[in-house]
Amino acid sequence: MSMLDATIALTEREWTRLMRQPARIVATIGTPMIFLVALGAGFAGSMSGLMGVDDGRAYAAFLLPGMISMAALFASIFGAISLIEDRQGGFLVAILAGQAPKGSVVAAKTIGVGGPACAQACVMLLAIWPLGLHVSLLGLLGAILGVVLLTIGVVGFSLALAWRTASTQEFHAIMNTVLMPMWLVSGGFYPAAEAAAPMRWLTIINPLTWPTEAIRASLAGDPSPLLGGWAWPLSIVFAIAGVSLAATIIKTPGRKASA
Amino acid sequence: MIELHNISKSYASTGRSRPAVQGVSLTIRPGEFLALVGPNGSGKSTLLGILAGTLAPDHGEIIGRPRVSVVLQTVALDPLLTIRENATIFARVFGVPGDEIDQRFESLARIATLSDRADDRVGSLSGGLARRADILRAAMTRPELLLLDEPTSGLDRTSQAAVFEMLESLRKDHRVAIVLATHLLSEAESADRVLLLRQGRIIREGSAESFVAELGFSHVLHVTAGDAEAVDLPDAVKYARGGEVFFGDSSEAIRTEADRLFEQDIPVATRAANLADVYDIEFSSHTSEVSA
Repeated sequence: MSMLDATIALTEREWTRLMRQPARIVATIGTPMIFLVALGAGFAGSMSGLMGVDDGRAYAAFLLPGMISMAALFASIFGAISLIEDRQGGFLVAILAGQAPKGSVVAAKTIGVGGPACAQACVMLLAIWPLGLHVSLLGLLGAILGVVLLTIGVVGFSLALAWRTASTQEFHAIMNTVLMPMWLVSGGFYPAAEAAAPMRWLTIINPLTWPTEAIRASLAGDPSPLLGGWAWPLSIVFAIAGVSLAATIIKTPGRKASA
Repeated sequence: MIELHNISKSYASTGRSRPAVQGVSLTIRPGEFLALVGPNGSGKSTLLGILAGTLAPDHGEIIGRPRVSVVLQTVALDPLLTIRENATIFARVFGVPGDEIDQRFESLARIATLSDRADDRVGSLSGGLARRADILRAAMTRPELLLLDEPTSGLDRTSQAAVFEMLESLRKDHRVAIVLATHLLSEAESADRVLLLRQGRIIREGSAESFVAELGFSHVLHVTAGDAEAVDLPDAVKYARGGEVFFGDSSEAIRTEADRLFEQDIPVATRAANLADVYDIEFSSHTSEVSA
C-alpha cells in the first residue's frame, strides 16, 4: 500500500465528513465572525490607527489575525475530536490492524483535519476588503502561509492531545483549560507589544502568538511589532513541533486497542 | 499462515501487572474457522489484538504475517458516509487498485445482501445491516485472516444468522481464515476448532463435537433450581446456570427420569448435550459430580 494513496483516501474521508456537517462549518466560521463584528464595532471608538486603518474599522482590522487564529483553532479542535471518535468507534483499530502505516494516519489526519481548518480560517481573510485593509498579493500569500503554519501546528497539538485523551468530554475539558487560555493570550485581542511586561512575555512565549503575529505582519505589510523578524521562524518551529509531537505520540504504543 | 509461540501479554493496572494472555501457542491455517470462547477477561480480545498486530506481545514469537482485517464489537464505519463510501475508502487505504474496488464492492454487497442499500448512509441502517456492512468493509481488502470480536452482540437471531451466512460464504469463496471471539456457544459450534480460554490460557482445544464426546454423557435434563431435589439421577453430572439445574447422563437414564418427573407434574426439559454444557462445566463454580 502506498502512504500517499492512504493519505489521500483518508483525507477525502475527512472532507466528506465535514461537508455533511454544515453546523460544524457554520460554527467554525460564524463564531470568529461574530467576535470580529461585535468586538470590532464595540471598540471602534476607542481604538484607531491600528493596522494602517484610521477609521472606525481599525480595531476590527487589528482583531482579524486573532479571529483567523480562532477559526483555525476551533476547526482543528472539531477535527481532532474525530480522532477520538475513530478510536472509540474502531475505525483506527481496523486501519492499523491492516498494517496501514501509522505515518499515513498522522499525515491523513493532519491534512484531513488541517485542510478544512485551513480553508475555514482562510475564509476569514475575505474580511480584509470590508475592513479596508490594503493588502498586497505578497501580503495575502504570506497571510495564507501563516494560516497554513498555524493550522499545521494547532492540528498537530490537538491530535496529540486527542490521542492521549480517553473521551470527548475530557478533550473538551483540556481544550477549555489549556487551548482557549492560550488563544486568549496570543495577542489576538490586544496590542501585546504595548502590554505590561509580564503580559507581553506571556504572549511572546505562547506558541499560538507566533503564527498569529506572522499573519498580522503579512496583512499589515510591516514586521511584527511584538516578535519582529522572529514571527516566521517561530511559526515554522510551531508547525514542525506540532506534527512531530502528533507523529511521536500516535506511533508510540501505550493505549490499549479494542481488539 | 500464522503461528503464535508461547505468547504472553500483561497490562499494568493500579501499579500491578495483570496477565491477559499467558503462554499461548496457536497455529491458524488458510480457510480455517477458529472460535475463541471464554468468560469476560479470559484474554479473547487481547489475543485478537495480538493476531491483528495492534498489540505487541511481551514475550513469545509470531511467525507469518497474513493480510488481516478486523471486525470489532463496535461498527468501525463512519455513520456520515454511505456503505459504498466507507468500503471504498477502506479499500483505497490498503492499496486496492481503483478498477477492482467497484467490482469487489458489488460482489461483496451481493453476498451481504446489501446491494439495494449500498448508497445509504451507515447512520440510517439497523444494527444488523450495519454489522453486515462492517464485515463487507473488512472483506474489501481480501484478507487472508478475518478477526471478529463478538460480531453479533446486540443482534436479533435473524441478523445473527445473516452475519454467519456471510462469513461462511467468505470462507468458502475466498478461503478466508476466520477467528471469532464469542460468548455465544451456538456460534462457536460451527467452528472447525474451538479454543476455551481461562485467565489468558488455552485450557482446551478441539472441535465442538470432540468436546461434547468427552463430556461423558449424551443428554441433559434440566429443571428449575426449586425442583432439583426431586431429580433422581445418582450417576449424573450436575451443574447450574442461572436459575436452572442441569443433569447430564445417558439418553436412556434421562428419558426414564423425565417420564417419572412428568408423572409428578414437575416441569422438565431434555435435550442432547452441546457446547454450552462443556462451557458450563468448565466455567461454572456450581459444578459437581453427584455421587451414588
